[in-house]
Amino acid sequence: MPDCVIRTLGLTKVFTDFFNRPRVVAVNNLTLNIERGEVFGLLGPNGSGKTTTIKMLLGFLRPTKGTAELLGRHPGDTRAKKSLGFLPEESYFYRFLTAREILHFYARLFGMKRAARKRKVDELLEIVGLTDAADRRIGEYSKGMQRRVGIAQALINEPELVIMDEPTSGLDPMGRADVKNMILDLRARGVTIMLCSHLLSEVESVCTRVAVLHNGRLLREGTLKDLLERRNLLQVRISGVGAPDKSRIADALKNIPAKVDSVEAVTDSLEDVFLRIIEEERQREQ
Amino acid sequence: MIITFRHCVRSRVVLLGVAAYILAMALALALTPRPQTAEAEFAASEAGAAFDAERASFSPEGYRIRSIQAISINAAIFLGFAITALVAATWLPAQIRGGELTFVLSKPIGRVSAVIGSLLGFWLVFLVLLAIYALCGIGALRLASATSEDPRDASRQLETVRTGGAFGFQSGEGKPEPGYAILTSTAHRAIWQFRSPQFGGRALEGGKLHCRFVAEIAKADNEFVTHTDLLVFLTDPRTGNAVEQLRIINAKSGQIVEFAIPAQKMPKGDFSIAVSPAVNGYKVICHKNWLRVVTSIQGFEWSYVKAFALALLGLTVFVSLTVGGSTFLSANVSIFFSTGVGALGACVGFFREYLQTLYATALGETTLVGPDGRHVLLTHLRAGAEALGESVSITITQTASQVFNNVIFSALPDWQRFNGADFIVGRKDLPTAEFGHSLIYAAIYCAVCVLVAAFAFGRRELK
Repeated sequence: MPDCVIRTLGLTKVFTDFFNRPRVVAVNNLTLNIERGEVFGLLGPNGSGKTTTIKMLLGFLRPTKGTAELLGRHPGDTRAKKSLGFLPEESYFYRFLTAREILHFYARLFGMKRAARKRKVDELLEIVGLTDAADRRIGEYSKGMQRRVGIAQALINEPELVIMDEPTSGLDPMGRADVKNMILDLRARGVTIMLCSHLLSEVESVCTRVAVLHNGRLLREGTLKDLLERRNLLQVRISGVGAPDKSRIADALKNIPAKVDSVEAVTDSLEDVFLRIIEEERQREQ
Repeated sequence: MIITFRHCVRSRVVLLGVAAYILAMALALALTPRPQTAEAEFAASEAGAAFDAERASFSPEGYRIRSIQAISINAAIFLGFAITALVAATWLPAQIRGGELTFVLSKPIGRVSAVIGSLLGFWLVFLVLLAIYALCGIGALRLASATSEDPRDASRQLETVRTGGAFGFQSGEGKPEPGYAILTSTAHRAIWQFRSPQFGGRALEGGKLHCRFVAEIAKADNEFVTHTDLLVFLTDPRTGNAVEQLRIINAKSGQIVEFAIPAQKMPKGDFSIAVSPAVNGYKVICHKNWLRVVTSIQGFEWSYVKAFALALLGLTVFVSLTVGGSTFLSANVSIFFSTGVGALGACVGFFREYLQTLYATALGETTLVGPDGRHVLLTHLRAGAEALGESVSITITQTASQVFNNVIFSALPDWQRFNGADFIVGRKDLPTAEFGHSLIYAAIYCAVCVLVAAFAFGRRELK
């Protein structure tokens, strides 16, 4: 099994008009490596190329330049898709089927046997909290309920790799918490997850590594620790200090017999970092 | 495939079509003792069968129930074509736009499988649809046969047991040409002589001698008028007297009509059947082989089933064409593409039929050859063309016609191969070889469509 679950090399997608003239560069020379077991966050504002990248990884779009590999295989290879779970940005279901029927349908596409299928469907319906509504047509579902069905179908085959595009879109706070716990649970089981989300606090709490895209270009990539740490700042937490004497604090660290609780790098929130990166890029472009 | 099938079965279009058909059939059945009313109800209920209503309205007695059967086939075909044009043409593009297909294709399903699955789904829809229609039609025929007083409405296959025997011509003036007779007044008669023992007992089933007859008919001063009443005489050759006289109402040129002579009227031993125009002012051409004594066989309506099987093949071809087009076209363009190619195939088919009429003998594709060596309909087509000021000069050779046929219908669907309704109305048995040819044609056409579709869809970007 490849350790690099997703690999792109110089991946580029240029959308053209009817006469094949370049219209927009959606993804520009993107090189990414996502290792097994990672929870990778792909961040970027609207139109930054996140969904286009996912579609190229799944074989829905053909790259203009560059290559992509999914689980060591060419995008679109059905053998790779056997180990893939995919949750698109919108829930696109056959509205005349019930949640149970649609999950059985997708399970059958994976060739699951009847007994295993029934067990898995019941289990997933329980996990996403749709057991009571399982036999209602999806056309009658709210957006949040449809999202839960989408999450369930992405996990129907117990995938090695899950690609989630805005997994908490349309969910209430309880639902978002459930999804977050689900992702953490998957991570604990060694499942690789590629996550696109605008809710940066959620990404921050579950991702091990993130990449920031803007106008199709990769602006920054790294572990959360690397990305959020402010290298030129140190945060020192001291307790048991007497009357404040700010002018002597620096010496006191050495001379005052006080206890130093921690010495840490100052970190920003992911949201702060994200906004700063994008703002810097915009200013640079201007 | 399952999704396509379920979608269509739950679609209002299909349900309304089937419901309308069943309702229409129920109305027709309820009014079966009055066939014309039944036809009217049926035709009104099935808009798609309207184009075929003319056939029913002008059919001779004994053909009305058959015509209803033909309408049921055409209604099913019409509904199938409508579903294909409206649903199959937009199925893949709508799923791409709606995103359902991206969900499916993110699973271990190849694009070719998606295309073939869609095709099979629609095929299953039409199989069920036509099965419902066929069962309704067979049931209607059985019930109608039970309530109709006309034995020719019975659920029976007819087979020829004897072609015309010695053939002659009776007239106050002139003499017959070899093999055919031209009747221009009520005094003229074409005569077929028969020996009674040739028929055994089967031809007299139901106490009647059943005969089939074809003539070429044209009004003397207006060749557009191609139907008139004919008189049929049963004569005793020993005395020369007519022992029975029948009137065939509204016989149409080139169309098979049937008549039955009561057995108790049959003379002992040899007998003759003579035909003459019922009124003056018409030219009626009779060929020696165009009057046949037939017998009926009780049994299952295999021709009807075969006709539906042909319809299913035709719909399969159309679905392949439509789904194939939709793999690289948007929804709206796909509708135009499928209906356009389908209509073009039909138009070229009609044109080919016209050419075949002109060159029927040369092509050797017909047994109904008129006295001048051409198809029986030739006179009317030529007369019609001349009346319209068109040239009918012969410019295309036989080879050109064959090339035209082979090349054009490799690209366009050849709907004539899937027309089973004419066999039903004509009470002709559909030859197995012809069905086999249609099957092979459909298989090759569908295979090519699937290959093109698979290639096109494999390269299509799902944005």
